[in-house]
Amino acid sequence: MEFFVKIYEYFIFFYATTLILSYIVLAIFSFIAINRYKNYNTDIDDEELLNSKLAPGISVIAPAYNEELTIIVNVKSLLTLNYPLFEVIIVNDGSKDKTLELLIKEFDLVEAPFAYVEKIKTKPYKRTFKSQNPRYEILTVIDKENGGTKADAFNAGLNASVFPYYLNTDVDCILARNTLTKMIKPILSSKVRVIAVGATLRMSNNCEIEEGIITRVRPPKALIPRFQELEYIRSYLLGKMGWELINSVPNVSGGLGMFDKEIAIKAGGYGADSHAEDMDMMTRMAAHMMNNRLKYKIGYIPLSCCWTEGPPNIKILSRQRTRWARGLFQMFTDHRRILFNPKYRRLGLITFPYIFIFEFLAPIIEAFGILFTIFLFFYGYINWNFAPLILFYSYTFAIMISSVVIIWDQMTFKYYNTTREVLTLFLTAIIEPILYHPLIMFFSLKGYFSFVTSRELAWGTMTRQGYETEKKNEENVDKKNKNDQNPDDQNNSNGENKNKKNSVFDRLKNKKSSGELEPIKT
Amino acid sequence: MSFVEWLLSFVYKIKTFPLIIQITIVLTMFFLISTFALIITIYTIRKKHNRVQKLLKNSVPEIKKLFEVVLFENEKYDELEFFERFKDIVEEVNRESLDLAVDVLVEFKNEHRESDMYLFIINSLGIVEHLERKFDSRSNSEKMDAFQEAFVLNLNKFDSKILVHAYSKNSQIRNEARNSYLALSTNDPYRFFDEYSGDLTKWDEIELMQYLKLQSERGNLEGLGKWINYSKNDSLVVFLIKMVGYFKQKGIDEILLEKLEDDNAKIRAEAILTLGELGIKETEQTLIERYYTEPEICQVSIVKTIKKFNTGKSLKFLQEIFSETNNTDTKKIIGEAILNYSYEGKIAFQNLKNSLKGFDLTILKHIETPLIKYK
Repeated sequence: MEFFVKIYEYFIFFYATTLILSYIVLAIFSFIAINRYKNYNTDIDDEELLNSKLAPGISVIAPAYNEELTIIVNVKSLLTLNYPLFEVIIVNDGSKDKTLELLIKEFDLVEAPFAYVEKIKTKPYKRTFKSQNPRYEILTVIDKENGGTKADAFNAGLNASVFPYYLNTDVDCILARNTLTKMIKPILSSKVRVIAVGATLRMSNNCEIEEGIITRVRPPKALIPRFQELEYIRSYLLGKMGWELINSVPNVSGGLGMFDKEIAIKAGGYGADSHAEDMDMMTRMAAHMMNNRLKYKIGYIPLSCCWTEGPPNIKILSRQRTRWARGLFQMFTDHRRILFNPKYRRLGLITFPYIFIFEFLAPIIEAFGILFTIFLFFYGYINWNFAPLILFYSYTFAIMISSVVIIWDQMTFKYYNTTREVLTLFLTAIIEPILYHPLIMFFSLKGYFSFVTSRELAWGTMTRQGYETEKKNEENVDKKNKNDQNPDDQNNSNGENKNKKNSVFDRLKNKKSSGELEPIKT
Repeated sequence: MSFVEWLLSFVYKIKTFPLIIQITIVLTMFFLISTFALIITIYTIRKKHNRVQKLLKNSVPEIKKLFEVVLFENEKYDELEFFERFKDIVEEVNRESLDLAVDVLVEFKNEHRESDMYLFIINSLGIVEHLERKFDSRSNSEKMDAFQEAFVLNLNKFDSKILVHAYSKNSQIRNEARNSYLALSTNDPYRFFDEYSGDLTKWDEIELMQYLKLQSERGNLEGLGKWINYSKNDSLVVFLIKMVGYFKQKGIDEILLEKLEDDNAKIRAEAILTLGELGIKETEQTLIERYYTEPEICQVSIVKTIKKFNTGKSLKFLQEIFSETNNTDTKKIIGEAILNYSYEGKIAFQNLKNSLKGFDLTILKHIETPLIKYK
């Protein structure tokens, strides 16, 4: 027994230390990558691109499933992007709520004769809507039967797109106006073919949003989204930027990613049954390039270009994380031939093994560790002199690495206006390992269990609260607007949320677009 | 017990622990000290940021106001007087405040607010010297800024500075310098055209195009066509052919016809498109004859060029290839060409609509509807 305990102790220590070392290496890599980005990219580049006839076209694709609470604000946000040549494609994946009706009404849509070619197989396509209002001429709404996954909807969007590059995003995302100019730059300035580019996502929960434009960034007030804000910054700025330096980015987020359409289609599009469509797609594209002995690059930019509504409570967090964990399991099952396969070079020998050992196995090892500690406790094997020290060792490292990330974030762009807001994030880092991390571990295990027992999992929708555009602003809404609200909607059983939505819609409708709005420019 | 004694006894005690515990203690202390240092760094960064924000908030509107009266309201100052007015606003004329001045000027330029007085402000504040310092800076981002700011402010006095960087070991700086030389040099702007190693990136093309625009405004674009023949770099040749079409350069018909026989399909395709841009209609029959022997990229160019010529002579050819092609994207382009091919084209398009069914008919409706902007 003692021998077994000894082996276990050493395993855990070296596992944790390897993880810590990998984080330190990634921190160094990301520092270099961020500085490199900052040195060779300026805001004048944006102007050059905006005024150029040579700017390539980009299709912005956003699938929607039961998104009636936020769809209008978010589509408006997508339409405000600043780029000389782009289209916005919303794929209504058989929504059962009023998503499509709201879109038709708000954007004056009519059914258009559209030559839809099914380059990638999807669930049946029904029809295409285009706007009669010239203001929304770049908007296309594709209506299709529900495919059960976001991946299927993305594929339909890909089939309908016309430009050589596409940006995939979610309709619950608010994008910075210069997202397209910033994200296309790595593709344009590389001699090697760049198949995908990612950027940082943050939480929109406490941000000020006006007419679909972020005007003031704040860390979320509620604890769960604030934890997630820190987690996202860490994952993007430290993880993905670090991997970018050695061209080994494991995935580009489904919330915000720009892709080379030709390669995406040649790689077979998104796995229609995949619940981790982003990582699955990235893996397919990278594997396609390697199978065909083509040079490629996956880029990442350290700017936050996308704000998404984070889970406001544990219940919704649980649903989101269970789906992600299930998707990760599915990804390793589908692409198991890549793991430790030298044919896939860095992807097979570095990125995949790293994700497998330190992300996929981590919750299992942690859970086993907790159970084993309880066992050791009852049998009196715990060395009480040193056990707290080992715990403190991991804890201090977690705080240090989060502090590094906060600095990297400040180095890149100062999104928060006040020092206090930055320090709030630091305080979050102190309690995150105690409160948030165990939850994530538990939900991951739940997701793995759900995958192994093959429980059905529906489209990854999250219960939205809708954008409030700051409660203080709501107080300024004219009484007339309130009176003008549709009485049917006020009596709707959806109650509170519905009323909240209406007030925002009406306010947006009545607000004249003015120069007052000053968007966040990254 | 003093702190030193406690520390020594602690160190002595650590030495008696197992190696793993010793490592853990050392690393934990390292993490704690680092975290503390990081917090101080965060605080320092924010403090500096707040100071800059305050400066921006206070000075920028004033600087804008001062520049606007000189640039757009013709208020007259002499250089010294203007310098003093600027100094009154920023308190000290240094690197930071001159950067603010440059930013304001760049903003005006990007908003296309034209004036003859830009040079007055540039000379009064010594912005040329400021940019020269940036060119000499060790920071790559400063250099990149200097290249772009000099271009936006239309300053072509930096030949020697740029030449130094045109042979830099840093490929990004080298590239930027060579591209910028086109706009910022007075002597031989095309000097580096034949020194590009490998394919041009799309960003190179975007930069070069805007620099060529500047040369075009200065009336220095005459020599562009000759580089199509001189250059051995295919990607540069493709780009230059495109630019010849964009800037409507005359007198290079022979070169373009020669390029129709090039081995590289991209060069042929671009030459065909440029024939269309320049309206060299006598080549229409030659292009039709080539259609069936060319790859798809050139076929698409031929259709676009025939649409551009719009002579009314090739309607039958367009109808023929529409029925023959199976590629939906190409079909859309041909259909669009028929629809926009004179009055006869419109009638032919309607006839096609009456005769076709199913997906082919949908393609025609797709082309025809004004609701779809990007076909």
